[in-house]
Amino acid sequence: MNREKVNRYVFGYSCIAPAFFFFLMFFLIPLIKGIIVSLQRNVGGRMIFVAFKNYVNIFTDPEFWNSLKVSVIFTIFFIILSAGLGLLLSLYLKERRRYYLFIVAAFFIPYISTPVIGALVWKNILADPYGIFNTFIGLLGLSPVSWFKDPVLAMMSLIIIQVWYTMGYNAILFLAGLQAIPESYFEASDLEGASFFQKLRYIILPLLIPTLVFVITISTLYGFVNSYVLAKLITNNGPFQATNVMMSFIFDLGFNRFDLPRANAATMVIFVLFVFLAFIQFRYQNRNYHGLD
Amino acid sequence: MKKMKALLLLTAVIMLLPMALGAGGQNEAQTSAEEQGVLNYYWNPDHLYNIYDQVINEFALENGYAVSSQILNWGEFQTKITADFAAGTVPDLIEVPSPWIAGFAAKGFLEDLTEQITSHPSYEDFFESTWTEVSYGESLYGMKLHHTCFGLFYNKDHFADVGISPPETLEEMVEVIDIIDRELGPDIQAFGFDPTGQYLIPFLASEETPYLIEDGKSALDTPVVRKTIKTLQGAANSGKVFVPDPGSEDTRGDVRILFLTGKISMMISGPWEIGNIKNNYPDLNYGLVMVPHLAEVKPLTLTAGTGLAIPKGSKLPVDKTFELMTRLTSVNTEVAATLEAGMLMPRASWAADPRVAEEKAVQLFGKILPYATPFDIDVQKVGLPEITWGGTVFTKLYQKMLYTDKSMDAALDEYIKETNRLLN
Repeated sequence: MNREKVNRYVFGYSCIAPAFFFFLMFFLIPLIKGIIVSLQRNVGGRMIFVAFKNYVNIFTDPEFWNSLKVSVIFTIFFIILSAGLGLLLSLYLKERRRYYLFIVAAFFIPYISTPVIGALVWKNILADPYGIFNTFIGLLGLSPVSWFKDPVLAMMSLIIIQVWYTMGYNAILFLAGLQAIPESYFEASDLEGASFFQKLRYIILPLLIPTLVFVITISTLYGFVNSYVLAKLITNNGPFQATNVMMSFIFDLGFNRFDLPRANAATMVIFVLFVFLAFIQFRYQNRNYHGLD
Repeated sequence: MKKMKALLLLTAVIMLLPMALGAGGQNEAQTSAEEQGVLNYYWNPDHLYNIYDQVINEFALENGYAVSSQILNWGEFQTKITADFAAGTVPDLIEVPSPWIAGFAAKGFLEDLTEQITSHPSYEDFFESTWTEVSYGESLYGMKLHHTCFGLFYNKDHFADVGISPPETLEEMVEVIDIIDRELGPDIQAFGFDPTGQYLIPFLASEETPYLIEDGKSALDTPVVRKTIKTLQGAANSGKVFVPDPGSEDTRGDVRILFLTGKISMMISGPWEIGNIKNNYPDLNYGLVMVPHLAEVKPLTLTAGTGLAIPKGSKLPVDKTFELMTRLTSVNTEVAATLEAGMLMPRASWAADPRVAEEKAVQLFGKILPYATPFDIDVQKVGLPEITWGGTVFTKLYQKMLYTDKSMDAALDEYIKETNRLLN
């Protein structure tokens, strides 16, 4: 290898070294540590190696399957609503109608606010019987709605709140994607007399695949991870564990039952699931997105 | 080439900077701890009494320690201390609900203080039952700081308005709920449930069922427990009481505020309310009775209170921190805390002290405290917090009682089956 080549390698690796360092410190080492802990058990303060017993324990725990089911339901409905409404909003915003900035700000502000604050605001709105919503409908002579005491309503409430939280962000992402589509495509389709749905089906969606995949990937992460904040603060994972999302289950294992090995085992399961889902999503993108040419 | 070298140098600096800063910080902290000593403790915000501050500051001054404290609600406390145990960054002293001490001890997180405690002159002075709460196996891992229990608070004005006495039995309580709803509702509700299920436990504890676990099995499989839960379910479904949304300990404030502002007539709580009422709701005319049970039952209630413990791996010498523990639990400190905040304490000489006899908390709870039992203490010792209040299995049972009119027999059977499965 000649000197110039060596220098090129050194230069290249030097460029990625800082990023790799942080990747190592804050991802790889914790991941390896997590895997090690997930293979151990705390017996009177001593960590002993138990191989895959924690994983067996997790897979035979009905609470794990319940929380997985809850997270999957939450995530699917959340993705459909958040991506769908975000896309519709971005199509509306693309035309830069009146109050453009106000609408962008109104939908984007929830995203930049602290989730805890948002959760508390919604809790005060929907609380039974003294929340703002129930007080208002009480004035109209209607009975209060127990948003958080009924399993289905509780789940719906959390999904609506999470959609409120992320819809504006998704709309901005879609808007960026839409603005990258050449206007000539839309002009040509107008000349051909294409309807809105035909434009959506044959121009917008195929050309938004990278954005769509990104939004779905991010939303999957939100559905599994960030839903914890809402579930904890608004319903405390109830009623009847109907909103006991996966991260709540893991948190409960780690911090309420002081069982960090099992919590790590559950985390590893989720990690593998995420990697698998991300792989499928990006594979779909590679197969179906053919660029703008 | 020079540019490349400069880039390399910059990269190396960027990479090493966090390590250098981290290591520097650590060294600095270590040096500081060794040279001056830092007393690091975690405390609950409801127990920030002046007397404790005074004792801790005096102790620190005498020993040349700096003081560093973290004030944490129970929810965040649990997260923080568990993370600390895992990371080895524990404080020197913690004040936690006493059942946690048994739970932490079971995981090997705490210093064994058996020798120090049993050889201390005050050992015999503590109520014997309090040691159960801070022990694991044959060893003692802490000392109780406060020794309290739950009772039924009632609004004397509401009861006087409708001309009735506070309920002595659960059957009477149901009647009282009807009367209050009829006479004072709907603006005033008769009773408020708590969101966590902790305040269900005083209804379940009796001489027949003093503990949640007996002989390695759930002890709740009795006709009395079934009837009690069904009666409470009837009350919850009556529309005459306040049924909170699902929530954690932190949301318990809703029920308390409603009682303190006269919106509900009865609630279950403990002596920690008394200081708050005295300072913030002085006009509230309230009384306290034993938590009502079915007429055929000899009632008990649930013990509460916090304890002090020393995490394993803390920086200060254990004997020094233990000395601070003994100062915080000395009779004079206890009496001062009672006079300041109405808190109840775990030792005989405190109970006999004439200075506390006139205190309202002592007068109200003095009659109930002897009937308090650490109902769910074994849960922590076997490492199954999910089967008691706040845990997923128990909460499911409690929420079925509060939010549905479905058969409580089936719900209780499901709870017992799952509890026994976990215990096995």
